Amino acid sequence: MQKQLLYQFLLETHNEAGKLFFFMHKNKKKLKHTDGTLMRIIPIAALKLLGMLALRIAYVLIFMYIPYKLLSAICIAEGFQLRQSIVYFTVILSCVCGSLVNSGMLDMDEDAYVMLTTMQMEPTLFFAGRVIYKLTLDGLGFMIAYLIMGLDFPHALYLMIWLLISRIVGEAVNLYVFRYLRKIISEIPGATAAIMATCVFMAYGFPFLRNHVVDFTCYIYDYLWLLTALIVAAVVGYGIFIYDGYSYIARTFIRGMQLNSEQVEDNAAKAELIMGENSTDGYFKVFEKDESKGINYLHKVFFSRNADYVRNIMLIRIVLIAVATLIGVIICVMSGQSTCDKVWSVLCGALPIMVFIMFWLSVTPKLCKSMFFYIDCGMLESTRHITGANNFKNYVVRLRRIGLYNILLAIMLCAGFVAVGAASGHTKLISELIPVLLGIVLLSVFYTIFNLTVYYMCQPYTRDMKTKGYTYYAANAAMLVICYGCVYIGWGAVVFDMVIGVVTGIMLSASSTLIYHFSNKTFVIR
Amino acid sequence: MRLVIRDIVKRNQDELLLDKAGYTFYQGKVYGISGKEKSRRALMACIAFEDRYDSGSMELICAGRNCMAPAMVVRFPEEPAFPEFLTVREFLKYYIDINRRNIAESKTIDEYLAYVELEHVRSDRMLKDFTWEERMRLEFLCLLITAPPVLLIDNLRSISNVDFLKDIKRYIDRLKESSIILLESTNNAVTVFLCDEELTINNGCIQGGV
Repeated sequence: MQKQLLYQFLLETHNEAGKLFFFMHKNKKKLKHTDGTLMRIIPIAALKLLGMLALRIAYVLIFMYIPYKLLSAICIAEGFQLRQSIVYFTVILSCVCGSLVNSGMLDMDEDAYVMLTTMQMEPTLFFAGRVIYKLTLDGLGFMIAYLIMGLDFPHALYLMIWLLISRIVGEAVNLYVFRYLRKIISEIPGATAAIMATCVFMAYGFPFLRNHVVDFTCYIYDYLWLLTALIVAAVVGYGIFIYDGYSYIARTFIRGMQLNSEQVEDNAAKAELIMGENSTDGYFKVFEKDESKGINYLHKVFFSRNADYVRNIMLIRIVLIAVATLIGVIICVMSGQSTCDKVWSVLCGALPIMVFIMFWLSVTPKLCKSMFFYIDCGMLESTRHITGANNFKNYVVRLRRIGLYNILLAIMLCAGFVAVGAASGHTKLISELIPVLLGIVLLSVFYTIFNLTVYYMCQPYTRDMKTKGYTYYAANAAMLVICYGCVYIGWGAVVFDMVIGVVTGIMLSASSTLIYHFSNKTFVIR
Repeated sequence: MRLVIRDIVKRNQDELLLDKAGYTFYQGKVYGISGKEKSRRALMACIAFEDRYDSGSMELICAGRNCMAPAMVVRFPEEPAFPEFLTVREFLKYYIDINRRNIAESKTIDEYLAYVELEHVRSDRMLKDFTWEERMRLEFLCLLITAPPVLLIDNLRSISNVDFLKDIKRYIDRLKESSIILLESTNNAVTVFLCDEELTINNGCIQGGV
């Protein structure tokens, strides 16, 4: 077992060293009879190990020490002492964010595939070895970094122990998330974005606003807290090492790697469009007897079978809205009335900047890409005659469906505005926000029409799902320029709403005309 | 119904691909086109409205009037493509719905599938899992359902499975009852097996026929 752990350790550090040691062991060769190859590889492996330690030291210096220096220089009160600041940053960035988002155990790659298939390593041993490897490197790296920054040995040691405890707990969390979702947290974009955004704000923004860091040293260096945490880590660590589902995880991973090499090309654009055929209950719903007809039927089945993809892109946006709302609410609750008034005035005058934000929030481009991959590419390649009238019928159905998704996002954003407005203490004046909320909904409709029109008039995708064509980029660039120009407009929200409404109406009739009459020439495969 | 081609001239830079080519194609026959590859492709492209000819005319005479239009000509794809997220029955339901006006005789989906020996396909099997042969059968089924007036088959792969070739022959024989079919293939044996009348493009002119 010790030898297998050594091979894994070497393989994680340096591929060649690990593989060579493994095959030498398999062929029963003794180390002292090695040739020059081994003598060349060992120093490289040692250097790579030192490099990984240096990376950790650099991380601590860049993300903890330098911010500590900056914040202590900027802020007037002496709320940034070295030990309190390093402890605070470590807890937020490494213990919480790093432990949840960077799973060393389940972050599968080619090396893992080699170890499990070629080297036939026992899955339980493999995953346990990964945990030990990560704990060793993190412990050494962070310990050295703390000592370099000026922490004394006992305090650095305690902090390092807390870090390792959080790593074990983080691995356990990722293991259970993987068990139920077949993904670790870093593979769930919405969750990762939320955790990282929150932790970065809490690490830097929160102390900056409050002029001091939260003092965690009273907990970190308290024996009772440390003992409790060690007991928790022992229990959790024991659970990780005796977990009996590693074989299943390994089989799932290996199957996924093999399927990926056969079914999916290297093109990442196609990989992200893989359809989840089965519902969450695991069954395949058939629509043969559905009452809808024609193009409505086609899109109903498409959106149903593509629900995972639609849900993911919506979820990312909803999480971002939720995180922004939470930050706004925290700022209002933790700050004085003058800050709350500033926040309120920003909300009331937010429409010009919302033109820009709604452009990025729109799910239409992503859904158009998916529809091209699954529906339009085949239709355009086939010899069935494509007419502007047929394209227009598709456009109408898609406008309705995608418009609903964008309006839902707009409503979530409006709810966020109301929540922040209420947190700023202006609950009685919430009605002043109505023009802004109406503008947000109108913008979501506008961008649905705009993006669908650009899709039909500039169709940018090739068969390999690459984007080509200057017209597509030109249209989006022109819209971005308009968005940028809108930031400088000083109209009131009501006037803005009227203009957006008129422009949306004109855009709707113009797009309908263009698609009906010209899309048979423009809507082709690049 | 007949397709009348008169004095078609088509040049590709200095090369004369079609030199006053003319012929009348009738419904109920499968015409095999052979000759120089560039000339064959030029003729097919001109009929399918994918390329313009320099001079001449093409007419599709239906009930005494010319109804030649892009919608009347269907070119058989080399690689049949379908919405891959649908099952075969879902696709047929959709296809029948959108072509209801062009379907003379309505049948059930299972009856249509039986035309092309696909009635035993599992109901949860999506089109993305179909083999090339199954896609070909499904493509022929789509043509049998909508019966285009003019069908151009110029991308048939070399088919080694004799039983499958016989099935294709059966589908084409059924299609020709309501369509004018022009066929060309790189494999002369396949062309001869499938067609009723052989034509050759010789020095830009269409020759041969029965």
